[in-house]
Amino acid sequence: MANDLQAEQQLFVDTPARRAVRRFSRHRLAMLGLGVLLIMVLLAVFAPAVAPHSPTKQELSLYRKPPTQTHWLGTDSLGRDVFSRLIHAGRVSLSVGLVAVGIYETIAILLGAIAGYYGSKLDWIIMRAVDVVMTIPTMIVIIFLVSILGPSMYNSMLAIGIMGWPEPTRLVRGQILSLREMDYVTAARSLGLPTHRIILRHVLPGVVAPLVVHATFGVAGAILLEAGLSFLGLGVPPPTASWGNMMSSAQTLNILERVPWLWVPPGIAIMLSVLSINFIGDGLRDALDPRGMETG
Amino acid sequence: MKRLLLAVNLLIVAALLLTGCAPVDTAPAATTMQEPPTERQYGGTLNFWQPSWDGSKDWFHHIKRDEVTTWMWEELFFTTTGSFIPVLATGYDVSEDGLIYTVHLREGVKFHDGEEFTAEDVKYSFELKYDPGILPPEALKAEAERVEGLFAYKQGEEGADEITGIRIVDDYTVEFVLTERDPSFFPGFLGYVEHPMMPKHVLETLDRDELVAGTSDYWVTGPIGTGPYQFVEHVPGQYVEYARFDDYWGGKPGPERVFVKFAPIETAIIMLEKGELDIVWEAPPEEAVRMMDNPDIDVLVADNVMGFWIQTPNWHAGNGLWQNPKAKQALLYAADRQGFVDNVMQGFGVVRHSWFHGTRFECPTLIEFEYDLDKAKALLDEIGMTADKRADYQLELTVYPGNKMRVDYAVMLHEAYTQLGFKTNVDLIDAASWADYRNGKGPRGTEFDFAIANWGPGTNPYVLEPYMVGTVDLGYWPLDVERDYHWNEYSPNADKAKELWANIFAETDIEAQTPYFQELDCILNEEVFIPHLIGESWIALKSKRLQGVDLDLDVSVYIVPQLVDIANWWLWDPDADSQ
Repeated sequence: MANDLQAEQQLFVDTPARRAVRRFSRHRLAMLGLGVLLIMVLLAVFAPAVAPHSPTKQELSLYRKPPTQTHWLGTDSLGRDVFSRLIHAGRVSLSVGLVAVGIYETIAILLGAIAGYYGSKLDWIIMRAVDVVMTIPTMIVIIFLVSILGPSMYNSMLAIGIMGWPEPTRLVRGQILSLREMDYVTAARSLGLPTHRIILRHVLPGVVAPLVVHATFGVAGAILLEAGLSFLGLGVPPPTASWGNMMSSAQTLNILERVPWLWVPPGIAIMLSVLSINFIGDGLRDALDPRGMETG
Repeated sequence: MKRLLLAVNLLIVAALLLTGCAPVDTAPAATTMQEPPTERQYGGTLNFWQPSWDGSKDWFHHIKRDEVTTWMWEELFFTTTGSFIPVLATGYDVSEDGLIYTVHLREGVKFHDGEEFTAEDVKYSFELKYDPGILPPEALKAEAERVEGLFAYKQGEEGADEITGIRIVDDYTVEFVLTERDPSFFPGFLGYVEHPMMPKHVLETLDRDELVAGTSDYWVTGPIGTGPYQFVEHVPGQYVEYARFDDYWGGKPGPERVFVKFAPIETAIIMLEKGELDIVWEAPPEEAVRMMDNPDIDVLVADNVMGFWIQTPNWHAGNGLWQNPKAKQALLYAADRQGFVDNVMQGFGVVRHSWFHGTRFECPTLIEFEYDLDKAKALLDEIGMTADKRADYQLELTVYPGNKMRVDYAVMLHEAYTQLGFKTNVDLIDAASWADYRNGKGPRGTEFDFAIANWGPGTNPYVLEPYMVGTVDLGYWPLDVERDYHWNEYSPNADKAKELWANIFAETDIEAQTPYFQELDCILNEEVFIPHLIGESWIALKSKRLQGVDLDLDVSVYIVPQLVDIANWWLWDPDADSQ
């Protein structure tokens, strides 16, 4: 009986994680964003099964046909099915966003932790590097990098990834500067724990929440950057579809006026994904903020 | 607050979508016109288009007839395939040994300052163009070696202070003495578009060093020529303004003023629709289709047989796979080029089956490489490039993103070659890096199989001769001296081709040369010398008010074709002109 009670009590212990999940689930826009994004991710993951046609199969006689029952979103200039390309493009655009952010958040954690925990000269050097990189126009450098490395999905990820680290590095450093002065960290140091263990086990977990929020917004930004690169012909090369290179066909008045099915669907996909991710980011920020008030 | 934000966001999104779907306001400024009068009218301002022009620093590097300078500078001839249109010269004779070209100049031609154009100006113009201070001698070696004394002059050799091979016979006659018999001299030099005539009496009073260095104020403030319009003003990045030259030798031109305006093509088309431009050329086919519904715009189209898309092979790729004619034939059979022309190009193109396809030199027994995937596979199997080997072969195509339709073509090839069983990749190379890649200096390596590019005989059908007889390396991609490729060392038709070229060069009359060219074209056709793809049509869009435009595509691929007759252009109802 006592064991059952104990178990029940454990079940209802209001941990910070549970509080965050509850707060997040009550954030309607975030839940809406999560739902939309989930659908997009599922469509992208199962694209080969879901897409009614091959994204690269050409039928020249179906040149820019408007939406029909066979081709739900019409066909493009080479007679390829726009809907199939759209959901396959989601794979590229979403993974570029995730991987690019993964790259720069990793760099940020590493450099931010070193700068924040060790301070002194290392901090000065890293922060000056951050200052310098932040003054460089990101898009120009990304274009420069991609033109050297060559347009490809992986190079886009890399180029976006290695230009995005300064801002989260500052964020991580700032968090760690305050965390390292906390009593439990001091205690860990007094116990003689090795530095890497203190950083990894006791300091970095405190950085996760703000970093996740930042990363969420970062994914949206990276998707937009990839779209911009592909629009310029420097992102994902043909025939692979990305939302950006699908939109790049809309460079003439004729297409803008008369063939909206070439550019509206990828435009909406970009908009929806970015909006959803931003809503999720908002929700996470509210949910993970320890000062946040319980809304429900 | 969040709901409000969401509502605002959704409203913005809806507004953007509606804006995108709505027809763009491109209504022409003027009301729809009736049929134009047949008589030429005088006056008004003609607005001509040019995408961009890097002559803002100095005009000097533009001592050639291009879309901007053609209004004021003229050459001796316009070259056509096997013939010419007389401009500042009325004609020429060739001596029996083929070594002396005697050019007869037009009399009564005046420069914009009223001075008469004479043989002195011809000699001076060539000596200025080939001044040792402009471009290194080696860059112009091939053309400079054609005329006696020209290369020595170009190199600045001691005592070579003039081009001895250009001789003034009298005020209206000039002789060009060749170093060896060369029927390509006319299309490749004398009638070439980059030799406009300059006023000796003005330029010899100026500092020669500044003139040659391009730093002279003359190039910026007051260049003159013999053309139908005289220079007024150049506002870099915006426009060049010209005024009508009433004493033009060809009669008084129509419009009183001409503005050459700089804008990207997309903007230019909108400007045309709004009446801010009178003519735009090299328009995308889809815009031509759209303009066909506009009663105030004329769509002018001509098949371009002089230049076309090619698929330049890296001759060394795949252990010389692309040296094999059957491999190249297979690639042509694998691509539905006609489907591409009919659909993607909306009919504004011609499928090319040989180098001289569509010209008088076309092979009479032309092999047409119609789309046939099975035939393509069979040809590859026949040369040992079987399905399993194709599956292991990484076929790299390169194309630069400047021409959207050509990129689409590369994507179509990607699919076609994938169907053949190759592992295919398309690499987009920006135009600025193109030359570096071609020279083997690209940052991403140079091992491509094909580069989709543009080339063609232009008005010079002799241009292939050095490549086919082996005096010039056809290695082209990449230009690597240690891996050169001479077609004549591999082709079983090399001796025959050499003999045909000799026959061509033995004749000065184009009629007599034609059968040899046709035989040559059969070799080029069968061997798929450099895979020729599609000739993209020239499309010009012009306002109804602009009259007298006549496309003549036999003139040259290096210039905008319709510019041959700018002196005949006139504006309908010029008084209505607002400028």
